[in-house]
Amino acid sequence: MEARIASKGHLCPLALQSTPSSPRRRSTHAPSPRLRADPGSSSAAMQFFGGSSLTSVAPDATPAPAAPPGTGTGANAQVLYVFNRNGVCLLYREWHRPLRTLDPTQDHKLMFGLLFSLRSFTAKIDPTTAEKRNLGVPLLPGQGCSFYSFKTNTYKLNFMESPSGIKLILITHPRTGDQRDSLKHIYNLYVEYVVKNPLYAPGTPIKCELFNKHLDQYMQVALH
Amino acid sequence: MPPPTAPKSGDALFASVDRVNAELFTLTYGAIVRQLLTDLEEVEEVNKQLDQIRDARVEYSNGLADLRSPKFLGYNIGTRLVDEFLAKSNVSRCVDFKETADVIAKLGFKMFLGVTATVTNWDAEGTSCSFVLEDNPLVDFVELPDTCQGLQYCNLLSGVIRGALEMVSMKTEVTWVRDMLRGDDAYEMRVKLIKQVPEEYPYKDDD
Repeated sequence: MEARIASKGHLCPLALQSTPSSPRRRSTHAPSPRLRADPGSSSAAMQFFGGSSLTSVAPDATPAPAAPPGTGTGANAQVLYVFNRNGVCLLYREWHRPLRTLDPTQDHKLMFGLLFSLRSFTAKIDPTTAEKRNLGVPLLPGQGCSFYSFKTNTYKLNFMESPSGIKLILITHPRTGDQRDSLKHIYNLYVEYVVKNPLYAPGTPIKCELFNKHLDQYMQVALH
Repeated sequence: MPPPTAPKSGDALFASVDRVNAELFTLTYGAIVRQLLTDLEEVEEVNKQLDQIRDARVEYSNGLADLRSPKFLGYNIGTRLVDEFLAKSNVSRCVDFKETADVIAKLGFKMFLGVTATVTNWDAEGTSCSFVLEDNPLVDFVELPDTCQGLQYCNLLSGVIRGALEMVSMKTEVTWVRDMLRGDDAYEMRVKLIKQVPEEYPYKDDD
């Protein structure tokens, strides 16, 4: 299920959120002139977002093709977090983040806490199952349902959790389409370049150059 | 909402992953066991190292163990291999242990060993079962000499399963029941689910 949550300050740990009105314009349109000059990349982006965006654009927004030309191309992937089940932030990578108001540790903790609570919350309000636990009671893996994205007026948070507890969080422009396939691809990169790296000790922050390189490459091709 | 991608079949999965020559694989594993026997001299100790009965994570958190040492061979492989399995198989969460066992037998074994296992001998509660392997690529060309009769040659496999399941929050106990190297008619591994670990909030409240 997709949970959409209206953006209110107390739910959002991101610095991006703390100035709700103007940054959107600034953040999304700034790089667009450069990208518009390159017809190859913008057509690729259209293709990439074409199929899925119709289904995931919020009801109040106009259907996908009406999105301004700049939004499909500029500054889409903004921030990526990778957490393991113990709440350790394995990776934090940012491509575009105009404001940072918290120190990184606090920021990661809040982000993890948000996901944890939101999962518990989405499971609690699931209308399709009768069996409900009290809010905050730990869930067994496979229990309840989870969300895969939510949108505020300044950003969209895309979320994927593997059954092994790896959580991927990708912050994008609010008009970005369904990112579940991108997240899956990032998970594949993680397996290929981090898990299979014998020098990587599980549970520690990722410092694999090859992974970062491929991640950046993928972000450029797929999301810009 | 587009439908989630369906899990791949065992054959499709096997076809989609990189493979190495089976004999090279068998011989490499043989060389590892041989080396462990030379280094440790005790058959029991080798069994332990291939699987590692003690909880590596606990020792690790107490600073007693380095997870990268070959000591935690099977378990260690399992904790990493599970992510590859999940990423490539499109399997999402299993509803119960029975489904988990089926997935391991039909998809897991196929993907990594090229064979499938049969799941049998469920107990009444549905918490323990046996994987039976008719064909086991690890043991081609292997004969146990008299001095190594106690060796659990395939203990790596049980360690892998234990490690992999632990990463998806299932604490299990895996033991070998039948072993063709000791004259039985098949390979049988008993997997017992001890408990499922709920996801806990990892930080203290006052942080």
